[in-house]
Amino acid sequence: MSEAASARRLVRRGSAVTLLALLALAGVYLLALGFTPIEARQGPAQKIFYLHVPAAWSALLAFSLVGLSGGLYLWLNDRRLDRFAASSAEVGVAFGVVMLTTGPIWAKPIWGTWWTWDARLTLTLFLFFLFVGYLALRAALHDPSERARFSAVVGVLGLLLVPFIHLSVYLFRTLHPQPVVLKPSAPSLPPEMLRTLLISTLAFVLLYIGLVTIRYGVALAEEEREGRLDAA
Amino acid sequence: MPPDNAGYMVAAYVVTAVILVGYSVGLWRRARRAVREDGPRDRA
Amino acid sequence: MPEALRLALAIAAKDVRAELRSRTALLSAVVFAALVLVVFNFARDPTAIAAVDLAPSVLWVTFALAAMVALNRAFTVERENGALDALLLAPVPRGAVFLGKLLANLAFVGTVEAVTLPLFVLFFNVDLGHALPGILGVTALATIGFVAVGTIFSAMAVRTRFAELLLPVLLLPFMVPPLIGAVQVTSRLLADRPLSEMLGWLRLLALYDVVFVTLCTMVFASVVDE
Repeated sequence: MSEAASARRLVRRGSAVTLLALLALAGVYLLALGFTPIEARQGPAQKIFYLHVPAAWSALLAFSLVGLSGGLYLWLNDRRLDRFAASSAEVGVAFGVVMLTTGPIWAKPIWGTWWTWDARLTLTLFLFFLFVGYLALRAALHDPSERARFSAVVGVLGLLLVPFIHLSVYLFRTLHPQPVVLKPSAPSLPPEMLRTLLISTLAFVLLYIGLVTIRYGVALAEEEREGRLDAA
Repeated sequence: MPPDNAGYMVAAYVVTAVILVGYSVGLWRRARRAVREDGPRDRA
Repeated sequence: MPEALRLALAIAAKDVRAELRSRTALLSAVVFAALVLVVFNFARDPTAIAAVDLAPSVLWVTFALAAMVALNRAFTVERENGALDALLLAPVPRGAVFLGKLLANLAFVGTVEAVTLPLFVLFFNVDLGHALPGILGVTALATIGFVAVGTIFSAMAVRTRFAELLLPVLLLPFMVPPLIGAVQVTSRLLADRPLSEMLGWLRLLALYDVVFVTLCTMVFASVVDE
């Protein structure tokens, strides 16, 4: 099968999965807003949790996969790994935007502040910036081989940066205890809430798969066109 | 009596829907353009 | 390995010689660092915050910005006359080329830092006293790590159209751990705190150096070779 044909097929399949995932997400909205009890201490704002946490998990999954496929690319030199890394980074940044907007909207009523320099917040913020930079680098490079090699290097270095940022922010915090913010110490979730969280996570992962599939098809089609233009 | 902060909840749910649907539609249109540009020349 | 090290030193020496011949870049970087210090002095409310309280942060933000400016031009020189291509045609291990460029960049950034430090003491009225050896040590420890990552990113960024913008965007997240560590150690050194309070940070900085210098040396070939 030609590359163009498989690109078309991937876009078609990815679109179907994405549509399904968006419908599932609508179901999650219904479930979370209508059929999940309101948490007594935090009030309705606690329900932001059902979007924020799955978005954060999927974003982190996406970013780890970018790093891993970057490492594999440097080893195996397989173009498919590069296309996947590019797709995963872009979708991860989209989920990252959800994570970074819903987080402060939740924190304002619950913690009383939009942002705190907590270890997890700081780490995810810098990871987000790193992958925005990753996409900027890709956009600025035109030679496909160069683009693949450079972004694989950034992905691998980024993966190794994670423990260092975490460790330094953690050390920073333990040595300078912050004023105690109203922070629930991870209460064990009642079953209805846990169920909503898990279903929402599944919807987000499904959305990730659908979007990455479309994006992979786009990468394939664009590469194929670039190749044809070069040949002409 | 839980605190009344439903406004924040609504804001977060709306923002999430806008981002996710917006990105999905944008990507879908980009994909359609990408494969369509390929299509005719591919067959020719 | 000694052979690779000798090659690395030869490459670094070539860069340093070229730098000394023109001097414009080095001079500009030093002036830039001095200007950042001056701007910082006015970017605070002197009635509310004493200069000393802000000193470690000012010093390290200045070092970071100066390093960024220095790294930006590290590979532009090579590109302008195709020197890197010629260098890569030679049968030199890529790891040695990377170490050579790293040493040259360290010499450049180190010089800027060496000039900035007395200016900093002067402008911010800091009493370094017997903290000086410690400050020099932590400066070296922190600088090696982020210059290593910066060297590899600058080799990539020059291949793009907006290198000046792309390098800081890529490099700043990587500067976070060394910068946090360096600021913490510097403020403790200035406050005459015991070594035990800095040990955790020093370990982190050393680990960062080892991990990223090794990794960058390994992947440099993927950046320069087709």
